[in-house]
Formats: sequence, structure tokens, C-alpha cells
Amino acid sequence: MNSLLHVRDLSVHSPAQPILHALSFTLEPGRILAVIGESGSGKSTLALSLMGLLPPGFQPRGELRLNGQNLLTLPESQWCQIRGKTLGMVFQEPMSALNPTRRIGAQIADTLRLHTTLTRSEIRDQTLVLMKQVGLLKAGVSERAYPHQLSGGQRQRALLAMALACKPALLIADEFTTALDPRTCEDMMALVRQHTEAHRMAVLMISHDLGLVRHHADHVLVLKDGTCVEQGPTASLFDTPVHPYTQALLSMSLHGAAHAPFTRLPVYTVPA
Amino acid sequence: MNTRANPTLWTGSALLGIVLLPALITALLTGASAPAIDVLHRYAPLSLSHPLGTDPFGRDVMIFVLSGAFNSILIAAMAVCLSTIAGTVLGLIAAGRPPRVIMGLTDLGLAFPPVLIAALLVTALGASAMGEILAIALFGLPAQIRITRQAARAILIQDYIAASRLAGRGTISILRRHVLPNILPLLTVQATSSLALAILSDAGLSYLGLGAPPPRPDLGRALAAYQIHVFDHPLLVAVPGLTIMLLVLGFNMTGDGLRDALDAPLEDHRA
Amino acid sequence: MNALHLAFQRLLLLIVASLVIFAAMNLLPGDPASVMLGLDASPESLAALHHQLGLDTSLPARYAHWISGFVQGNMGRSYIYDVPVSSLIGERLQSSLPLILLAMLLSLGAGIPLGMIAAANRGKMPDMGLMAMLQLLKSIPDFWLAMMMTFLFSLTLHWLPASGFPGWNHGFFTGLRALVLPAVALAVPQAAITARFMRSSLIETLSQDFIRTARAQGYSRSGVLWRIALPNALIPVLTLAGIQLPVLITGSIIVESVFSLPGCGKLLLEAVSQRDLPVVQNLVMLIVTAVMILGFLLAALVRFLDPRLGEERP
Repeated sequence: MNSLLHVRDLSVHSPAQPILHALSFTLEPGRILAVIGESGSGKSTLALSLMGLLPPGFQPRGELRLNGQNLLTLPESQWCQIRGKTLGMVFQEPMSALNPTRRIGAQIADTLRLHTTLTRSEIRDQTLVLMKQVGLLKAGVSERAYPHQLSGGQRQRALLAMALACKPALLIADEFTTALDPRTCEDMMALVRQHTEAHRMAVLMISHDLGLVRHHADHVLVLKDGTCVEQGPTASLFDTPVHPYTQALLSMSLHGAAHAPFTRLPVYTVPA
Repeated sequence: MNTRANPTLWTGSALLGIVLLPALITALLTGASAPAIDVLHRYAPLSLSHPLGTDPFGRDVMIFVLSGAFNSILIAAMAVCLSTIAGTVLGLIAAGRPPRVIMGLTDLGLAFPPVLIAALLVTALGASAMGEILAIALFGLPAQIRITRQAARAILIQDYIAASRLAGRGTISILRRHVLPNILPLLTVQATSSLALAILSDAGLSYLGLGAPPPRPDLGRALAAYQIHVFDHPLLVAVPGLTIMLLVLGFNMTGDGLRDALDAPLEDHRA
Repeated sequence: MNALHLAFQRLLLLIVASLVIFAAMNLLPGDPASVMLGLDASPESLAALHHQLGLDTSLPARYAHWISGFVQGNMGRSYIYDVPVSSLIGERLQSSLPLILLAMLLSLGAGIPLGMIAAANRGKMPDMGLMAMLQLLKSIPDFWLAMMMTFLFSLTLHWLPASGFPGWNHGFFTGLRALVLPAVALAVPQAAITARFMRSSLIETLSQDFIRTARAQGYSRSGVLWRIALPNALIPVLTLAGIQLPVLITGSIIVESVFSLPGCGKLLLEAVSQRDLPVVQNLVMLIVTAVMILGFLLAALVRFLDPRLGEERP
């Protein structure tokens, strides 16, 4: 088995109720898996359990293998070595996900400082390279800028730089394009694609933007109430959805705009 | 408003009741004036007729302290009334204006704690109950203005205010009909917490002799008088101090409890 | 609002404060000269004293004379002691300044760790017990605590002196020993307030999204607490310290009385009871100036540490 991520029978219980039921999927290096489903279907819980950052009281069960190592039995100290290095994550809220009192250069450098033995000046150089890669230097953003001086898109670029700094094997992107304008959104996806091709980075992307998913994802997994109702290659899932829920989901949001991946689609709602 | 399952509120009210009720009864029976001096019964031990004994002047300690508590509460309550009313009016006036003046006023007020205001007033006019009330009220005023202004602004930006403005309602009428009833709970919470601070201020001022002058007994002055007996009769010092502490704790907890019950925004910046 | 604006605003406030103090001392009824000389003073001696005190010049002239002297450190002469007010105050600062400083350090030094402990155990027994204790401590009148502590530590256990201040020329520790009890008494209620504030500030900070971002970068649980959450949570505590400073100064005036410390508080009270106008006027102005300047420095520090503050509020 040479898959990077192997999830088998993953269930997560919160103190109040079960959130995820017996989820199973695999992810190969260099591939992009999209997880779709309405709000509250457990997408974010899935992302957080992959990062080992579930809120207190949430109980994961099952198997979560990264490069053959079961993450669920991992001690916290080893988790800290994986997070940021092998696993990168970008969050949905660019406005609040950055520390308001520290310069963005320092925050990007943190990932490198925590996981590499580079010297101070090497880290600085590497930070500038990262900022250049994500297009921050081009936009005239200095590494000495504070988050509140950046636009939403620029902050999301900084967050992406933080996640990609150590060239992670797996990037978890939790609706990270939702708050962005279409231009920035495409820029960011192009950057992610570049990493999947150059470093064989795998991506688990959670998205509401079905146009984006259709254009970029290799595989799609549909979540409903914490259960995977359908998963498969993007093209076949979009063209011949089997499960009625998938059909409803696709017909609602793709109505009239199915083949316009560059167009932002409205956030869909599915009646219960 | 949910007052059930609010132990803070109940504990606070109970603590207040322990002091307030006996103090009120004492005030009704004796007019909260100092008990008569009785040199034959100095330092009487605890007994049925003197539950907490008597002091160096033969006065009943319990009556003396309860009368003092009543007078302290009266001064604190008047000071809080004054700063609440003045602060609310000024805060409503300030609601439509930029924050600069209010911020300046707050900083200015912070630099003039009651002791300094009282020191100035007593030097110029001599000690008086009015002066003490003014000193405590003035210190609380900027915070009151700032809080009222903030709360009023939160309501003034609501859509229904714009609607009633369009309907031809004047500013005064809007403030009276819409703003005031909505900020009333917050003002109650604030006043309760301010009472705790006012009691502490009164105790400190009257201990220093900057508060209301004798003959009416006062908790702070009782401490000043009994302080030299702390070694031979520690109870004389313990009782007035514990009474102050019960009152402050009671008002603090009642304020916190009311805040939780009314879900008013937290304002924990002051002592 | 940048630091320059802030400084300008503070300067303006100081001028307002000086006018308030001057007005209280000079406009309110009551003639200091007649008070000093008693009711049966002759009109001639009253007039002579008026001239000596400068009370026969116009109000603006008196204000200008006072404030220009104050700025240069010349605060006039005390009516009672007949020595320069500045030397009187300077002498008393030797115990007042260390007392307030020590109390502030104790308050922050105890309050911040206690708040952190409570926040770390949020909702559990240690937190609830600590919060109940802090609620109690914050309600204690500091000067009463001072009395009870003298009863316990000085009169019963004989650990520390009950009153007085030997000065610093008998050695640093002899002086410090005299200030320990007053400083602890002053610090306890303020430490309780600081701890409660620190707790809510840290809990609030730990719930922010950027904490999760830092964890996703590989920060450990304790790393994120010490390196990310703590610096952010401490910023509002600095603002609180600025509010507590005048409270501590007020408290020190009272506690100095309890311990018979020869500090500024004692000086102020003596001056008030003897109507020593120049001392009251200048000492109050000095305290207000100190509070304003320290408040400004703290506000500037807070703005430096949290760069959002300087720019978002016009």
C-alpha cells in the first residue's frame, strides 16, 4: 500500500452527539481530494481530526494512517513534530487566523523555526522566498507588516505560506478560498497545484465552491450528517452522481453554471 | 431575565441581607446615631445584652457597628445615585458626539481618586457629608458617562431607531422611549457594582478623617478609633472591617450575578 | 491616534487638572489666612499674611506664578513647616515611591500567575476555588487588611515591624522590612482584581483563531500558551495596571496612616488638617501629574505592543 493517507472507519463523537460515522478513504501523494457537503455535515471535524486538533471532549475512533503510522495513537509530542512539517493546514477565516500582535514575517518564519535547524538568517531568507512564492512581495507587502495592514486575500496568502513553509506531504485546506475574490482564489489554487506537482503534495480540500472542486480535485467525497454517501473520481461523480443527495447537491448549485469553473458560485443550501 | 440557577446572585443578596436588615432595624430603633457613652461598662465581654461586647467608651459594639454600616451605606448610595443620574444624562448627551472628549474625561477622572478630591474639598471647605458624597460621585462619574454612552450608541445604530426618526420622533423622545428603557438593566448592574466601590471609598475616607464628620458613627471612623486596640481587643477591629468586607462582597457578587442574569456586557476594569 | 496626539491630549488634560486643583484651592469660600490666624485676628495682620502668601494678586497672576514654579520644581513654601514644599515632598517620597512600586510588583507578580492557573484549569475545581477566593480578597479593604496583618505578623508573631519607617540609611533590608506589610496589604485586593482580569483575558485569547493556526504550525500546547497566548493576553492587563495605579496611590495614603509611615500620604493628611494650602495644592498636582504621565507611558506601550490600536481608532 503506497497511499499517503489511509483513513479507515474513522468515527468522531462530541460530548453531545456523534459527528462522523465510519469514514473510510485513501489519498495518494500528488492528488487532490475534495470533501463536499452542507454546513454541519462534519467536514471541519474531519479536517481537525486529521490535524489532531479536535476540541476537548471530542473522541476519535478508528484508524488514521499517515505514511503507515496511526495518528490516533500518537503521543502529543510527536503530533507537534508532524503538524506544520508533514501536515499543513489553511483555515477559512483569514481575518482572525493571524496573530494581530506579531509581524507576518515572524509568523511565517515560525513554521521554519519549529521544524528546521536553519540559522536565523537562513530562516529570514527562506521566509522572503515563501512570501515571494505566494505573491506577497509582488503586492508590496513587507515581512515587517502586521496582519491588520493586509487585505483578506493577502492574509490568506500569508497563511498559505505558513502552511507550505516546510513542504508538507499533506495540505488540509478548510474552505480557505471562501472569503476570497475569484482572482486570488485562482492564484492560490495555482500555487497549491504547483506544490502537488513539484513536491507530490497531497491536498484534502474542503469546499463549498463546486466549480473549484470540479476544476481542481481528482477525487470527491460527499458527506451528509457525518456519513460518506458517495465518493469517486471527480468526473464520474459530477457526470453520473448515484446517491440522491449528491444529485440534489449538484443540481442545486451547478444550475446553469456547471462548466464555468472560473466563475464563483453562490453558496448552496440544501433543504433538510 | 433568568435569576434561577444563579448562585452568585443569591449568595450576594444573602450576604447583603446579613448586614442590611439588622442595620436597617438598628437605624429604625436608634436613628443610627452613636450609642450613649457608658464609662462603667468599658470593654464588657460578649453577653446577651451586648452580643459583641462594648468598646473603650462603654458603647455597644454591635449597635455602634450596625449604625455605622447604615450611615456608610447611606453615603455610598447617595454618591452612586448622584453619579448614576448625572452620568446617564451626560452619557446620553455624549452619545451623539465623537469619543475624544469622553476619553479625555475618563483619563482625567482616573487621575482624581476620591481621596484627592476629598483632600481638596476638605482643605477648602472643611469635612462634610456632602463633600464626601461629591468626592465619591465625581470619581465614578467618567466611567458612568462612558458606559452609558457606549450602551446608548449600540441602541442608536439599530434600524428601528432610524425608522422612528423618519416617523418624525425627536431626539429627546427617542432617548426616552427607546434608549433609556433598554439601557436600564445595564445601569442597574453598574450601580450595584459601583456601590461596592463606594462603600470602600467611604470607609477609606472616613478612616482618614476626610469623610462625613462626627457624631454619626461610620465604619471607617470606627476602625480609626479602635485601631490602637488591635492587640488587646482584636474583635473591635475585626468586626467593623468584616462588616465592610461583607457589604463589598455582597454588592460585588450581586452585581456579577445581575450581570450574568441580564447578560450585560462585562465591565470588569475597575476595582 | 499616534503617540504624539496622545501626548498632546495628556498635556491638555494636565492643564485642565491644574485648573481644577487651582480653582478648588482658590475659588471656594474660606480664607486660608483667617484660618491660619484664627477668628480674632486683626485686619492688619490678615492683610500682611495675604501679601506674604501672594493672595493679594489677581487669580490669573497667581495661577501663572504657581504653575510656572511647579514646572520648574519650585512649589513655594509650606505655611506650617516654613520649608520649601519640594524638599518636604522629596523627603517623603523615599518611603512612598518604594511602597507603591513594591505593591504594584506584588500585585502583578501574584495576580498574573494566579490568573493563568485559573484559566488553565477553567471550569474545574482549582479554578472555581481560586475564583471564589479572589472574589473574597478583592472585597477586603486594604487598610483593614493592614491592621489585621499587623496583629498577626507584628504583634503576635513578631516577624515584621508594626509601624514606622527607619529610612534607607540603616541598610536596604531594614528599610524594606518596614514596607513589606504595607505593600502586601495594598497589593492583595489589586492582585485579586488582576488575577480575575488575567484569567478572562487569557481564556478569551486562547479561544481566538490564531491560537489554532499556531497549533497547526506545530506549536505545542505549552509553547502556544507561553509564546503566543500569554503576550497577547498580557496587553489588556497593562491597561488595567494603568487604572490600578491611582487606586494604589490612594491606598498608599490610607495604609501609610495605618503604619505611621512618613510618606506623601501622611504629609497630605497633615497638610489637609492644618490647611497647609501650598502643600495640598502641589502634592495633589504632583500625584495627578505622575498618574497622567505613567498612564501615558503605559498607553504608548500598549499601542506599541498591539499595533492595531493606534490605527483603527481615529
